[in-house]
Amino acid sequence: MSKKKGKNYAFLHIATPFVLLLLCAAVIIFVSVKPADKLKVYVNLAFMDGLKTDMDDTGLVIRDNEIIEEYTGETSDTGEVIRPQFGELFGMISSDKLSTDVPVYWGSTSELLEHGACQFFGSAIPGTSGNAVVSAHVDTYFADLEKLSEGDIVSFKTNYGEFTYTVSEQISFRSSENKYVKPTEDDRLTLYTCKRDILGASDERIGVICTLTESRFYTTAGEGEE
Amino acid sequence: MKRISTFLPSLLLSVVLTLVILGGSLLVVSDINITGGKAVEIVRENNVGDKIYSELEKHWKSRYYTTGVPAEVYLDAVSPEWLEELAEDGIYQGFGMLDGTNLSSEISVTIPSILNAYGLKRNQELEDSISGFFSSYADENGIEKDEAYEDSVNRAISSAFNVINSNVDVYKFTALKEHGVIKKAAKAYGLLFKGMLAAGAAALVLVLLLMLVNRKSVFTVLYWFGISCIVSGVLGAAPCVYLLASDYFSSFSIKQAQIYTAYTASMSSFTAAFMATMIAVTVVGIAMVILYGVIWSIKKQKDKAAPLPEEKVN
Repeated sequence: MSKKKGKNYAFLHIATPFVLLLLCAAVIIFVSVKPADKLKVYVNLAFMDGLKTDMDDTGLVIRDNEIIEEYTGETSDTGEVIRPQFGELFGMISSDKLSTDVPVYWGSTSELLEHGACQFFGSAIPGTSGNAVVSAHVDTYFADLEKLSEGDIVSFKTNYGEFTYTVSEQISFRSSENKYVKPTEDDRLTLYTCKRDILGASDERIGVICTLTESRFYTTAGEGEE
Repeated sequence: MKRISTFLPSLLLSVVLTLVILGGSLLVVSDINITGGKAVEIVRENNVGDKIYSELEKHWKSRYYTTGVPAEVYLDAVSPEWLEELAEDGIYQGFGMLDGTNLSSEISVTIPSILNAYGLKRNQELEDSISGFFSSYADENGIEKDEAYEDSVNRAISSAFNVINSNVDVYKFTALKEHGVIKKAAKAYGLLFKGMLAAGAAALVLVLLLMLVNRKSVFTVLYWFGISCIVSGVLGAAPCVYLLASDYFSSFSIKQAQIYTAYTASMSSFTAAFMATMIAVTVVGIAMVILYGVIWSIKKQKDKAAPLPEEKVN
């Protein structure tokens, strides 16, 4: 009887570390999924940046402007927009749900998409009436786009003002459909990207429609901190 | 039933203790290894200056056909040593942004004035070389040295510094800063030391709780603490062994040689340091379990010699 008990103790002593190992491994795998995903995005962002201001072989000139982060001067509900040139960095999108601030270029080409998000040049520039349509790659700048849900706040900072939007709808559409990128009567921001597809490029697009809630045009020059 | 009442809480506490040891070790290794000094050490050990020079050589030679400026105009005025110095300064600035000592939150050697602003050695030779080339070209071709000419010269100088800037930023701090990653990483970086203290305190509390649970045979804590160390050591060291043995980091496809070298060498160095730490933790764990075994057999011998009420293990 005592021998059997001794064997049981020995087995318990040997088996316990393995049970502990399994439990801890499960916890680690569970908690590291999200950080690993984020790390992947950061690595993609870091290594996709090349010599940004160089003119490439296609003749596209990419201009990286500094965007005002904190504006301390006076603001107004109405004002003038500064229309950017094609290939010019003119805005920065941020939200608590997005891991990184997203630089927005005016115009859309595959090369610009490697530098940031792109605003379709036929759409309304923030500060003017209509639909501002911005897209980016899902593996870099819009990796967290699907995390945006109704009620989330999205900020669009430019060098002429800051525009605050509230997510009003999550959308999903085929790449051939254009109903969400059309001009609209209301002031909105449409953000979209490809749906993640492990088999390659997806034909499906996902995104959000954000409704303009506040416009703050900068009225005093030189009051911002870049 | 009494055994279960001590075994299960002890097991649960050990799960938490294992994770705390693992996390605490990671924080300690990070605090020691993720520093400007360490990164600069890696840059020096791997002759990153030479690699930057080679990349610039490749770049300016390939640009000759479109710009008409021979690569020598630039290359004769820069040296691997100067480039390495810029890279090192960029690293210190980058880590300065992480730990809050660099309040300017800007890394750039794009234009000479910025070089001066950060106290970097201004490369007058490079500016003179470019201006000299443009001047000779203008003289030979009868081009008037007017405002447009000055603009072209300044653009060429600015572009040269821009190219250098992009190549010397071996840890891509500029790109990470532009995307707001540095701001977030700085928060985590600032918490490293506090995290270490918290992990230490948590480990202490967990050991005390284990002692409380196993108060009838306190020496059993040696077993639980020991297996926690072993498991955390194995969990930490196993992926490191795989990464190093399979030369995983060498499979990275980063185009620029100096960035590839800086990143892969840093990752290998960090992995090796973490692996060594976790092996040490495992050894400590094994020692504790052996000590527990010795105490347990002595106790068993004593119990046999003078039978006492049945021992409660765990």
